[in-house]
Amino acid sequence: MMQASANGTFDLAVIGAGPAGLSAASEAAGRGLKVLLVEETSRAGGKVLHREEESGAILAGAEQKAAAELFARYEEASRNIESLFDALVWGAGEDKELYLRTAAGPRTVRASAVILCPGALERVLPFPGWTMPGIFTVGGLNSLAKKGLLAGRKVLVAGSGPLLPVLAGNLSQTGAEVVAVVSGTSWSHLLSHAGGAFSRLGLSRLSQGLSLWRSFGLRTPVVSPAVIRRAARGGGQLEAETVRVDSDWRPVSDETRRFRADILAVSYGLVPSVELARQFGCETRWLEDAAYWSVVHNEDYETTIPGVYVAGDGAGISGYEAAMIEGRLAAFAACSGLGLEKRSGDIKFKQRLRSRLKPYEKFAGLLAAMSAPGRGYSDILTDDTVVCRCEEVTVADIKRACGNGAVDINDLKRRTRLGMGHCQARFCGLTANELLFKFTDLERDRRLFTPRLPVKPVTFRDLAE
Amino acid sequence: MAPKDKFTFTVNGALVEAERGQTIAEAMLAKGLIHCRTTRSGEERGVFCAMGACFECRMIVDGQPNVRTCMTPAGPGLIVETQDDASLGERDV
Repeated sequence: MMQASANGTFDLAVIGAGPAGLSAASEAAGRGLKVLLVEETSRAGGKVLHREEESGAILAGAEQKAAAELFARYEEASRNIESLFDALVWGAGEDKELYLRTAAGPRTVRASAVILCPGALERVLPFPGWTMPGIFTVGGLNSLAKKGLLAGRKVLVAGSGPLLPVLAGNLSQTGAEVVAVVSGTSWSHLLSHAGGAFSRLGLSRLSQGLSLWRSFGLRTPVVSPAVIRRAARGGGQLEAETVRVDSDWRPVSDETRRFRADILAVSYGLVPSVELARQFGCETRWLEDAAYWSVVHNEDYETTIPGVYVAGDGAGISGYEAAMIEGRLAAFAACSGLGLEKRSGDIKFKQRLRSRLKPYEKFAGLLAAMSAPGRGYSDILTDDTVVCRCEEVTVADIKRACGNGAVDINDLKRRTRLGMGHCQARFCGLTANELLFKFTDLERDRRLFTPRLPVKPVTFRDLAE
Repeated sequence: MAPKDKFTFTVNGALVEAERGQTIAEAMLAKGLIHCRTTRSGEERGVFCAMGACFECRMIVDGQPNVRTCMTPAGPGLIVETQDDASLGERDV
């Protein structure tokens, strides 16, 4: 296999050092490939697993065990891995040429195969007042809560998805007061997805969630099914009004409640981060039940671009244990694809890993059911609600552009600047599509914005040699 | 865990204490500072996603604008200022 040369040529580039990426890099390096591992943040492990002494955040028991295993494998394989932290792959050219911004300056590398492990983003939905300081996403606040930064604060937790009880539990455990938990999904809706809920894994997760729920005190109001209808500033705090919703998340009038808090955490589950895959030209597919885009891949985790693989939450939201297994399978497939000699245990290896992965497929379905927003949600939006935070494009702006003949999402972008800002449509794309369908006669042909370099904003200094 | 080094930096001239390993945004949040930038139309914004994707947390750090404070380690003597997009000539950046 090739040696890493001064030009930066590798057998395999793994993008993202979370559970999937660390697992993939370790597996491939262990089989003899020269691996480049690129991570945008300064730490390995992703959002859930980390080395406690590095991060200052708490780890639950099961997470400690998984982190220990993951980092042990990584350390053992690190001889064959060049690990770059604080480094961003901002684009890809022909033939798996990768453009990096690193702490030491710009760098271009070539790899014979690439495994994309970018993880997840949070699904956010707008509501009147959602852009005020002090309003965070649920997962974002969870990272801060685990470090004890919210001690003494009053926090309202709202939205949908598995992170709601996790955040509420972490807040209580670190001295914050959970004012209420507002969930768009009702328990009856969850239980109707019996297939996922009653698998052994699903049950064990539900009971973990329930015990977290109990741990933050039975006096905490749980408002469900309901959403935040608006937020405003008042008396040095945030005031949130919630409204009860039906199974389509349409507001049921007159069933409103008001809460005051220092901080609001609001988001609606996790979605795969597909932007980098689209830079590579990989096909993506809208999953209607899960209400998110995923990267099309075969059972070996290879995308529609030969030699480009995807693994972990970036492939589909299944959690960190599934990510670790998928990383190994993708690495194995990459090794095979590069013509690495087969070993005698290979078939059993694949079978064993695939069977360990099976419970997580149903689990992914449960996660999606807990999170997917209902069609009626946009009824709470007012004309002056900001949809594109970066460019301050409102519902009224979108309505006007649709009235003037906007034909698709890219046309809407050109007419309003929606999606042209720093987040590059990561947080407004879903809502923009929904409003396009709502305000026009267009068929529900859901699109993503045309992928363009760079995948995240870079400066000219980042590009210049 | 061993006690971390502590140091100070400034946010709009006011001293903020931080520990080694904290980001600028984390140190600010610990002190109750949540206003990071002001949009072109005058709206105040703060940390939203806390993972480097939304860019709402961007501030001017040691004279450099558009720095994501949720991704940037705090350091001794750092000069952090609220970014006013209207006066920054944002469209040219």
